[in-house]
Amino acid sequence: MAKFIVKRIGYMLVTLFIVVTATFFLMHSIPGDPLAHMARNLPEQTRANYYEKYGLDKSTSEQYLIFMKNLVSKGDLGESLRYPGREVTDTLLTNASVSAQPGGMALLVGITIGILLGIVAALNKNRWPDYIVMFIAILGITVPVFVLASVLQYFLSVKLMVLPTTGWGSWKNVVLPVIVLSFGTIATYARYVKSNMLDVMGQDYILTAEAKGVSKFNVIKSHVLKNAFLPCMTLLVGQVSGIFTGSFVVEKIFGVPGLGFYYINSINDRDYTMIIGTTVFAAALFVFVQLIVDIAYSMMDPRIRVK
Amino acid sequence: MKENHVTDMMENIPDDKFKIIGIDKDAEAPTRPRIGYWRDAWRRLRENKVAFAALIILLILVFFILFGPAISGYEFEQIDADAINKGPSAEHWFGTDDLGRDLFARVWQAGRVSIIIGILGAVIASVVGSIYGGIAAYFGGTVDDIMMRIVEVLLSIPYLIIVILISVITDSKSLGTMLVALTLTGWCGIARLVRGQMLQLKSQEYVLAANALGVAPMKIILKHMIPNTLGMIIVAITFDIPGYIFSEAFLSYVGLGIQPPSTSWGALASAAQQNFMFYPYQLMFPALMIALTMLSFTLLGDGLRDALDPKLRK
Amino acid sequence: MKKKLVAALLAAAMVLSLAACGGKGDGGSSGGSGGSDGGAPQELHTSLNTEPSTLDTIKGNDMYGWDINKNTLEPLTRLVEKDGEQEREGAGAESWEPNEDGTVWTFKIRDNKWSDGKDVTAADYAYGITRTLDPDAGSPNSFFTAPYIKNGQKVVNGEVGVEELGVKVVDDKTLEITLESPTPYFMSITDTRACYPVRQDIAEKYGETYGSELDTLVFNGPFKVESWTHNSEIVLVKNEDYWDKDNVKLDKINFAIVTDSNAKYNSFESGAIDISSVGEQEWVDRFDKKENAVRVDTKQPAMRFDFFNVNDKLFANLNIRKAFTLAVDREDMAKTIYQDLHVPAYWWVPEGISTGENGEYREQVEGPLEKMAKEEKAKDLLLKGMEELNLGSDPSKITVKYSLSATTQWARNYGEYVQQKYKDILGVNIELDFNEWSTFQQKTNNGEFQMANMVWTTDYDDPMSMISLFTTENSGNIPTGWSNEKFDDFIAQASREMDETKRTELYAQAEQVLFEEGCNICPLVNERKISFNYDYVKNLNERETTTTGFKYVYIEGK
Repeated sequence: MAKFIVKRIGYMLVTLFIVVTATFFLMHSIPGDPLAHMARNLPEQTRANYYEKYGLDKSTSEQYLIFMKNLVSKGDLGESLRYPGREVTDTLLTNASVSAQPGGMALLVGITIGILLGIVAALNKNRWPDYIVMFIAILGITVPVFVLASVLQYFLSVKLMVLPTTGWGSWKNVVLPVIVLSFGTIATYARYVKSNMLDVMGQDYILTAEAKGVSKFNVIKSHVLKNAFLPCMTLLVGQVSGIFTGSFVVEKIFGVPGLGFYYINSINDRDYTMIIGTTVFAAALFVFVQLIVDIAYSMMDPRIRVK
Repeated sequence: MKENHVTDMMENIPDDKFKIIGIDKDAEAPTRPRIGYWRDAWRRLRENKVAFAALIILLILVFFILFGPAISGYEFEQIDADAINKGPSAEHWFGTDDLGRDLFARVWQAGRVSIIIGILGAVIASVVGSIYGGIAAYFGGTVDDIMMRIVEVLLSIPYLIIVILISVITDSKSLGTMLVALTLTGWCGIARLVRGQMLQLKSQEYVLAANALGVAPMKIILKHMIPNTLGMIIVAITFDIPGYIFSEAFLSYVGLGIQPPSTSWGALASAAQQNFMFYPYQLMFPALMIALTMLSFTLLGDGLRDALDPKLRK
Repeated sequence: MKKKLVAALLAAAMVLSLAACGGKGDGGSSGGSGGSDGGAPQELHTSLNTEPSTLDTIKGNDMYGWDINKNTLEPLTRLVEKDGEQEREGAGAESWEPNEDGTVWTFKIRDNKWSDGKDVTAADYAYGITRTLDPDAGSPNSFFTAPYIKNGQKVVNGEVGVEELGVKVVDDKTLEITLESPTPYFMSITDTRACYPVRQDIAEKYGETYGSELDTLVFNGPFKVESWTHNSEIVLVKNEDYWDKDNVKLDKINFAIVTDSNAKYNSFESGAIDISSVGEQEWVDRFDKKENAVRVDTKQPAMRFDFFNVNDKLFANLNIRKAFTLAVDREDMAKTIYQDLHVPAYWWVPEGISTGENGEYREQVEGPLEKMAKEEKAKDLLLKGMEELNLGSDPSKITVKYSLSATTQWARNYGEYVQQKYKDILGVNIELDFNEWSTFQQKTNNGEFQMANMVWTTDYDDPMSMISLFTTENSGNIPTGWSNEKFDDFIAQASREMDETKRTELYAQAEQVLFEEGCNICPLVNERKISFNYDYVKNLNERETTTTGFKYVYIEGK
């Protein structure tokens, strides 16, 4: 097991390296002026000074080497081009911790409800609870997030005035983002859990258990659930890093100062240091969660043996 | 002794006690007509009323998507300053948008883009993803490691950068560009899912048996493992179709979606979002179409899943 | 140097400067925490559309940072509204005086304190002004002062050092500024960010990070920043050390950063913010019906326009440019696209700009396009131009790339409108090219475009601010590549002309040449601004150009 983990950490670093390198060159190859937020007609000398300061006057590969050196030796991601004086690392940490709150909660709520609904649906296949659950699940993903977010905002904040429209700092600000963000998760998990459970329930060992007279509850508890959840864990990987980089719409509409919002804007602004910084962060998180899931997978599923 | 006796008895039966009654050529055939895998699936699908209804809704949608713009009597891009933001009426069945364009024509015109993106996107992604995931899971070890690392890399590169890059390279935001951009990383999710499922299947007895009998790896993947993951793949596809419709909508929302004058349900919905409390019908119609498509694909998907599952064959 | 002459400004569309007209006492309770009458909390809730890039006055140039700067720092002077008129009053400077020929200005600095307890001195203002022009500081605001202060342009270009600049600290309380030549509107730049005070010790201590976080900043204005949550909110509180604190009524100002416009309107609707500018007719109608909301309409000295790349093969032809300019049905556009919130523009110098005592320029000079539109037909001009370029006579063979500077839903809609209209009227095809601002900027500056769409807001209240953008020297601002000696000559004459009537005449002639011989721009609409505020917010600024921020605002009857 230890060997497996060490090996996987090695892979992790290689993956990260490739991601960072690819992103670095890709982002420099898309057109756009990172100083565009400054005056329309920035004096030439001033522009030249900026280029020199940020190293933009050098070739992309030289910039890459400098960036890598700083990253590896000091863990330094540089300073934002769009927001002068702000360290990318600080911004990342602040914004990520904000995103983590509604995002994490939404994931938790979504998974819990999703799994419960999935179980209910699977156990009542083709009966009314199944239809109701699937209807809810479908409903949750038939409306684009930006529509759902502004509709909820309108009714709950403007009409009923029970929640604030936008802002950050109180628990009330988290409620709407969590609702909106968890909808998709509920739907996804409900459907996958249902589908997996039906699969598992058709397996021979379940039949055997039932034949041996194990009660239905116990069969479900000790055989079906675990095996039905395992495939769902792969979903988790994308969702965890999605918490940080995938909530642009919700963060924009509800004024949540999170990372997703920053991320999309930094791409639009060509804020190079910020783009690459966020990418490093998201990718690291992604491969890390992947590792955890893989380890958990191999521990929980006896059929997959680690070599 | 006893045995000899029996043999003797047999030998002593005269030949004329036997007669040829003819050869029944069909004796070996099954008593029921032979039904192929796909035909059986179709039969089972038809028996599933809900799934069949979904299929019919889809066909109706497709009909309108094909002929709706012509039925409406308006060009979908025709601006009319005198008919801005008009609600549904006898002239404009779905009303008009903020440039006075007929929404009935626009909704169906948009449907073409959305449905094509949804179906093609999901199918391409699923096929590529299943094969990729299948190979990775089957071979395991180093091959699996390398293949999964490639997926991780692809999933970790900022998606928007890739989209922007592709639209810069191809210098367009056409349907084709959108499809490439959406599927370039879209298949990764399915690949991972399929791999997860197949890792489980791999240690199942029938796969071991096939292996022991020396069946070629590709054949095992195609004949045994993929059919057994089909349930999950079908669910994934039916999820992915609206998923792609939504991804396109998100790109429209951030301004990277399909290029005007082309439009999509996502683009219509995102355009209507700003003013939904004033003109709810502008949001309702494209959203309804997305919902109907989604609903039909889901129900059809459930039906298909049951129909295609080899374990449920009767 | 009449103080009234100029109302200079980095106006831009400020979310905040609004009127406080109708003030009936009975403010209905509206969601917020209502206090008893007379004891209403002196708290103002407003919003910013975007996070300021920095609160450093040297590096910052967005209007969001400016909204905060105005309230937390003390410029040399401020433009104040009194009884509907604007007047320049001393702020950081107690008094000021030019020498005889108007080239040397002496400012007497007022006794005031920084929020860390130190005295405000002439050196603080001198450092702010000098540092803005220093190319090492990378200030985007140098254009305000560079042309006027002695050696300003040379310093910006890196030709001479900052010590050559015409800014001198005589003693702690005396600042002396020498100008390149007498400039009638010099005083009007003394409240721009280029003339804000900056503490050298603090700025140098924090270096690059100065202005990026609250703890790197000191304040000397009516308010100080209490907290700054990036991308979320900025809270200001009254500055008790401020020299004029008795005239400051508000205890607290809350700037919520709200990027989604629907969210902003929703916030206003629910009473979470007290002020909101509104850009959609539907919302205007809705807020009009709110009893306790006061509507304020202002003329914006801002133009929305297309510009052509004169170096492009097609648009090198004057007739083609004229055809595209005249083909626009501005009335229809104002109605269809802007729901009549903005007005059709047949001119380049926008409404809302005046020429000294003669008042509103546009009331004196007719828009050149009005006459042209009556005399010539767009389609004929197009065919003529095509003939000159040997392009045959089939407009449908022509495809023009139309670049937009946004990728928003609005931009898409607008683009589709333009596409359709050009097809209907001229029969040409338009290919839309949506860009993020960063790409748009790069493309147009490099001349990689055919026809592009942009907005320009006046920098100061004189037609010169708009019309001089097309001189050969300034052509980088709106990079059409057009240059015309006759035009340059009119502008040069106008800048020297002290007689208002004659100057207006010169502007009119230049504008005429711009359209007749250049037509490198296609004006579309002249902006208007509509804002709403709840009636318990009193004494808000009514004019766009006022620079007192929220200093004199108070809450009553909430």
